Amino acid sequence: MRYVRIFSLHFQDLLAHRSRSIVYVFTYVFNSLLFLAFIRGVFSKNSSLGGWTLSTVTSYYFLLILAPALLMTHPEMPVLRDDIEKGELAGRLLKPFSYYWQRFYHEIPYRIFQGLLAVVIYFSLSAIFGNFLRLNLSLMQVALIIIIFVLAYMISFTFKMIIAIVAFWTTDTRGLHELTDVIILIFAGFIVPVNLLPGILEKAAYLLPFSYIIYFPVIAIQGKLSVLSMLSVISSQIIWLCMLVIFFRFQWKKALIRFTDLGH
Amino acid sequence: MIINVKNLTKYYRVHQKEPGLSGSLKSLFNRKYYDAKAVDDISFSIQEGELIGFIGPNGAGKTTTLKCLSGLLYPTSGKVEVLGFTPFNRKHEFLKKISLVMGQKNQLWWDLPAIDSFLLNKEIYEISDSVYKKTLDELVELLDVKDILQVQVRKLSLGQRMKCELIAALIHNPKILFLDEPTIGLDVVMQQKLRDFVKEYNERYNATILLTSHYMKDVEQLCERIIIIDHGKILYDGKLEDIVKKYVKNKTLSVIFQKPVEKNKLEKLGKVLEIDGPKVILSVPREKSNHVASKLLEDFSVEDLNIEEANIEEIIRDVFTKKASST
Amino acid sequence: MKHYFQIYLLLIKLNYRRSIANRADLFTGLFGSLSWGVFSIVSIYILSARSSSVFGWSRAELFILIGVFNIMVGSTFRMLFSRNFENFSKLMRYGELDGVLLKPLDTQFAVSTQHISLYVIIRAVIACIYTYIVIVQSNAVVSFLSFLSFFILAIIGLILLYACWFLVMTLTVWLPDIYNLDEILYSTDALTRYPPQILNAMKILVFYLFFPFTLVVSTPTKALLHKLSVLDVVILVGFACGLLFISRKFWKFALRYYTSASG
Repeated sequence: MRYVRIFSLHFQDLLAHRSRSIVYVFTYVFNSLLFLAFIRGVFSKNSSLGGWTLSTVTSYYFLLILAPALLMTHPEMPVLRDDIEKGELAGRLLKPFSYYWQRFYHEIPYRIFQGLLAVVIYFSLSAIFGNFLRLNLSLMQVALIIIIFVLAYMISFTFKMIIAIVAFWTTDTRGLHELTDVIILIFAGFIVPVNLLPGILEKAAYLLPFSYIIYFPVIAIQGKLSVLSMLSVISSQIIWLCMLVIFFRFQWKKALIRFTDLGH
Repeated sequence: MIINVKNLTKYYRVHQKEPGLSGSLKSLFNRKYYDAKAVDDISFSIQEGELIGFIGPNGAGKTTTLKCLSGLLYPTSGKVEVLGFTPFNRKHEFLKKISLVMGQKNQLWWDLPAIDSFLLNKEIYEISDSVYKKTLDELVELLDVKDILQVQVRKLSLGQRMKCELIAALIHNPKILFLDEPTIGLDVVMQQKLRDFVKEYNERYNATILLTSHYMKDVEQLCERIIIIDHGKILYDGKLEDIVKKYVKNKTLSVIFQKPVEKNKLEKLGKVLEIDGPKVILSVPREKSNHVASKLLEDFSVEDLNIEEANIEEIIRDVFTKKASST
Repeated sequence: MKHYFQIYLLLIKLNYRRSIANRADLFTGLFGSLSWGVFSIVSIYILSARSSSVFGWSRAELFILIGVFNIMVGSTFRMLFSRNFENFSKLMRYGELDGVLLKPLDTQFAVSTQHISLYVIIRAVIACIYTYIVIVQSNAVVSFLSFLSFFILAIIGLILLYACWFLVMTLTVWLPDIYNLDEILYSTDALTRYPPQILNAMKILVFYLFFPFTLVVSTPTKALLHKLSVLDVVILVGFACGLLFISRKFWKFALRYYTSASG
């Protein structure tokens, strides 16, 4: 019951500020369509590139509206703005609820709201472009896709929490936030699908966790992954998640010492 | 008349939301608005050199009125004329002659010393070097802030910052000064210093000053004339001392006799509010109070006698509550 | 005019002192700005990696375009205006516009000039070096005349971009709660770094509303590449003057609805 109430409060908060979420979804739509438009220019000369056709690449970019709305979490701004700068952190630490999960519950309604909005946009765009995804997945694949999405969400959230907590040491983290955004845009597959990245960038993308947040979930929905490769994606996701969680716990301990040292 | 306000009205559109998650969801599809009447058909005029207090509870419409007078807000209806200008047109000659200081807001550059903000204002208001220097020196001396002009504003205390805000607002020698809650959040000593300054400024430059406050002390010490406003309407406009005559028909006499006195003897003189042995409290019509007092001293052996004027703050509270209960 | 020029000089001075007083802020701002500069360049390399020309622009020309984008939008516009626009919703939400409106100054000038992010000069220098290199590599010949016309058109392009931003950000008078309205413009700014033909490929009519953005950088770049036509110039100048005029009118109109945070 407690969780339901917390969730409901956060959801009300979100509805009061829904226009801001709409702005964010607009930016996903715009960026994605812009990259798609450019790639359409490239495809006007080639019929297929690296296993992508105009049709599959189009649905890839449409899914790039949906995927970040659902999976790109942003705890770093409320942590910096509310908890550190406005000083709400002390109050939060007194609650019988770990900080990580408080932030987690704060984030969920936004992802649901933006996700729903993105679904509507996704279908409208598919209607305009006449490019519906032909889903042809087995039950097994569907189950694995759900697992991939959940793990992608957890990786995304934990990674962003690690970035967010840096604000305990210095409040000038906006530059860091922008740098992470840029890195994610490149390596998660926002500009082009990861396997179309040139040479070294492609290799780097597979070695970094970001492709497991956006690229792999998207191509999994597109049916580009066999059951076996899905399992391999899941195991990589689990390894990444474990590493990030361990790092976060270590960093959180230091952060708490830092925070109490400052005598807030 | 330096300020003329006729039937000024200002409405705000306010969004109304029902409580709870279902209320949030409802307002997602069906937003309800209502017009909040911040200022509702008020009229008054002010002469040059007056120092006027605007009083009223939070949300009464004081600040909105000041903002309409200084040209920040576009009136819903009515006519406002200040120094012969229509404020909202914000003619530069008009803006050069007024100033508005709001206790909770700052116009100083946070990361720089206050002197830099003054310099920017000098440039904006096109003040000549000699006038700037003269005005600045006077203000610095009046407010006693010589040592802090070179300190980053963020490092100043609230009181110090308020003084610097005042300098920034007065550096162009405005003819009219609007002060919105100038003493809010300041400690008692600083409040007094600020009051002294406002009084001095008014007298020295014959500046017209309108101030809002909910500290009665500000108004009692500074203003001869007050305007009481509540729910956007003017309840009283006149001399501070007259409000006592208007609203308080009786004065209270508290008497200590040398020995207990019979109640019926006292009832001929006034209404007995309290009787406790030799201590008696009487309420008498204000015009008769002196007469009753001398009669008491003549007819009885009195140890101590006090004529008490009702406390202004209480009177005004009474004015508001009466208004509230009658509507 | 002289009066405004003097105020602007003083504002530059004060902004310089402010950034010195706030060094950490300066570094984080520069860091973020350079990140986006690298992103804009990397993304065009990635997007065009498998093609020699897109929308009639060769790869080398696209690199020049992105260089000019970084000089004009990424550096100059960000330095002079972006922070001011980011501040708009704060001005409205907390009634901070009051202080601006009370000054005997043109209000549009006052709200557009408070913040000057001088540190972005470093990005400008890097962007100029980059652009010089890609121009040399492409064997393009830049004459004095084409440079001069580039310079003038770049200023007009910046005026156009300013007018677009101002027009949209004026909406915050009515919508102070959308404090991320500037995000829309940051993402539509991306349009300026591609050839204008990209709008046709976006296939959605509504996006033609953003057509003026595509002129901002591409028209001056065409001057550098000797691809400029008279029509290009007329369209750019027309949009810049028209939108600047409309933005002024719209701002004046909007101020009537300003509630000074008391609504």
